[in-house]
Amino acid sequence: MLILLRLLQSLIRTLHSDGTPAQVAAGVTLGAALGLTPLLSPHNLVVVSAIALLNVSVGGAVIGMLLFTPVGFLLDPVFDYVGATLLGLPWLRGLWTAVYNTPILALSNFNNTIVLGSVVCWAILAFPIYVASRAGVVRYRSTVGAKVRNSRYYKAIAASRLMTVYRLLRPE
Amino acid sequence: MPDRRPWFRWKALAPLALFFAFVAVLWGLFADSVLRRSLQEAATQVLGTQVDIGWVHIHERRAGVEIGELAVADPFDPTRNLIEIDRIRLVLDPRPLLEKKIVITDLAFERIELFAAREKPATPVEGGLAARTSTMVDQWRDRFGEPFLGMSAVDSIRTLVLDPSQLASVAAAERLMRQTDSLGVLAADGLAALGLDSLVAEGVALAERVARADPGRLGLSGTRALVGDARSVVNRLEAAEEALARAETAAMVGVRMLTDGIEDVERARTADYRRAESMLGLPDLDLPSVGGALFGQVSLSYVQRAVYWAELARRYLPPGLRPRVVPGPKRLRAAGTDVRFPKEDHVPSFHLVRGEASEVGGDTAGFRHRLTVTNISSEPALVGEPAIVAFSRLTAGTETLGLDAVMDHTGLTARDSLDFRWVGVALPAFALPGTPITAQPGAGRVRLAASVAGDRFFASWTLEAPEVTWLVDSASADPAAAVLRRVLSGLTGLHIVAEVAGSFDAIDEFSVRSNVDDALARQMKALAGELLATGQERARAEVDRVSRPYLESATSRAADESVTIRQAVREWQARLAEVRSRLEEEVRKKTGVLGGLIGM
Repeated sequence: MLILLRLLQSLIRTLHSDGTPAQVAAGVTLGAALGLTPLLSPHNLVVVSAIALLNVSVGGAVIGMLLFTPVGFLLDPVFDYVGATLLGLPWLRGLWTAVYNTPILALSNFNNTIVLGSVVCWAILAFPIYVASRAGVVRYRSTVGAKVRNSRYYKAIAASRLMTVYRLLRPE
Repeated sequence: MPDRRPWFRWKALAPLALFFAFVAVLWGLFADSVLRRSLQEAATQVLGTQVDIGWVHIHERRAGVEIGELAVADPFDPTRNLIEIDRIRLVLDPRPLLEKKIVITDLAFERIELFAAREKPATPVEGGLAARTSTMVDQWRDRFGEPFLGMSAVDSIRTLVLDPSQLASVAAAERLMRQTDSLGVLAADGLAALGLDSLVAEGVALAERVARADPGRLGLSGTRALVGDARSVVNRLEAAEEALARAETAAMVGVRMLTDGIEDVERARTADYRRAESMLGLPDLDLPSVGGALFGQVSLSYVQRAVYWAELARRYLPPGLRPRVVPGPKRLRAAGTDVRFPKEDHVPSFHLVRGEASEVGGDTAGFRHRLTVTNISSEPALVGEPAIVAFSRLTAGTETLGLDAVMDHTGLTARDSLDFRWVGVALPAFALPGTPITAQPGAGRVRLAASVAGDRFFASWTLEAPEVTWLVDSASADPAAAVLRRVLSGLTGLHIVAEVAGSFDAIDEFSVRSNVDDALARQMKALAGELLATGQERARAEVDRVSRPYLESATSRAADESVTIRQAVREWQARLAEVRSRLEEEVRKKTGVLGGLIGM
């Protein structure tokens, strides 16, 4: 319950005030990687590190992950097809063979159709996701944002002391 | 005003480090159990039979793994384990781990137990290798292991009613009739196409014209023109004769086809007799059938094990260096597939360099186990040496159980050989199918040898049981059972040799011989001779009743058509020759009058 409340607070604050629309959009884009690709894959350690170290909105990343996880499940057959196609291309065989036989890189699981397909699809969709989410945040803040901010539910959540915990990772 | 927010959030370094520390703690707490479950699942999937692992311990500093209380269920007998091992120690080469490859440099086993009873029966693995092998061998059984004693049918032969659609001979007769019709039409068309009628008529008319012609009135040029016409017709007659000879050759091919068709019909009728006999339940008492029917099932159950291991090797030790697709790891998301890209001069994805175990055990049995495994690899071509598995169990210095397997998958064609020996131990009892008798071989010797080259395999199985005993269900009133019991009671030993050859998709040959076959076949024939003869007679009569009209009609039509074609060809040959010689004769007469001025 505590975690859920904190999550809710962070998401609301993200949408209303924390960070610029670009920071939130970058967070959503990185979070989309966690949602679209299999979570327990080595490349997601890099994504998590990027979310933590880059000055992007962590709340945005959580939103991105929550939004895109079901999408990832739905698109698994597409990822499988894309991955299988890429791994089967004769002119890329040299690349995959090198990746498969190179220390550390081989741990990436890029020889798995779902992992490769989802990472490639995320890379292709990253820019559209960034642009769309940035526009979405701007539009939200200029339209329904003010109404939500004045609602008593928002005030009740925002007033919770737990909100202070979130500030540690708030974008500067 | 430009945005001066910093790109990096350095203060997140500490939480990130904490996060990684947390991940490391989770690894320390749960890695062993996660690996145990993963190994258990993977081994169960690979072997197609339940594999249980009691515990796993990872030694990160030594790059080693210990596996405890491993039990592999017998793929074909869920009530027992094929092998139980108390403890396995693996030493890994750490460098390949960075490439997600497992190279086991040393493997040691502690306490090996074979064929121990399970507390709970193993859960079958649906669609697993064992299940698939069983299905495949069951199909062989259906094809080769016909029940021996349908002898209950011998003492009371049923009524058999056939219809034409059940008989191969009727189908062959109908086919023959169609061929006959086609050949008749073809022969007639062929002769018509030669235009023999008009040519003969022209030849006759010209011969008469030449006969009536007066060279004095026609003059030299008129006579020369007439002779020229005659020469042209003679040439055409000769050409027609040659064409007719060719047509005759073609027609004779067709006639031979009809003759073959008649033989086919006869063969089909013989097959129909057999089928009708089997529909009556009459047993086949030829020697090969007796051996196969009595001992085919038990032979196949042993051969099945060889096929299982060969199939396992074929599937998981593939030859060559082509990319290989395997199912991806199980997870909440779709598993997808993993594609392996082996590369020359690199280590394979999995390589067990060497494993060895030698133990002395058994308080009273005093046995010694010895197991050696070398070069088991997922990409044998990268290893360049065949995989070898050798196991022996010595009891009081004598080998009681032995296994030698060599799997050479280093080239493009996989070659395997297996030699399994089981000596001086109590062999499991087996029932003789279709009979109330169970064989208890007692202490004996079993040997299973198999070799595989590509898709082809050959397996031979021998059983020698010098002190076999036969258990008979005395409640059975089958007269054949009494004969069988009498024959078997006179035998002090049992010797069976079974051989199987074929591909993994279908076997071509399966033969079983035993020292029981001859004696039993003779006794059974004597017992069932009269009844069998009656049954056979009845079956044949029914086949003849249904098929005779078709067969007679087809064979007589085929024979008639053959004669008709031959006659037609001969008649035309005779007529052409006659017209040609008459024309030549007439021309000779006229040209003779002119004193050789005009030559033919």
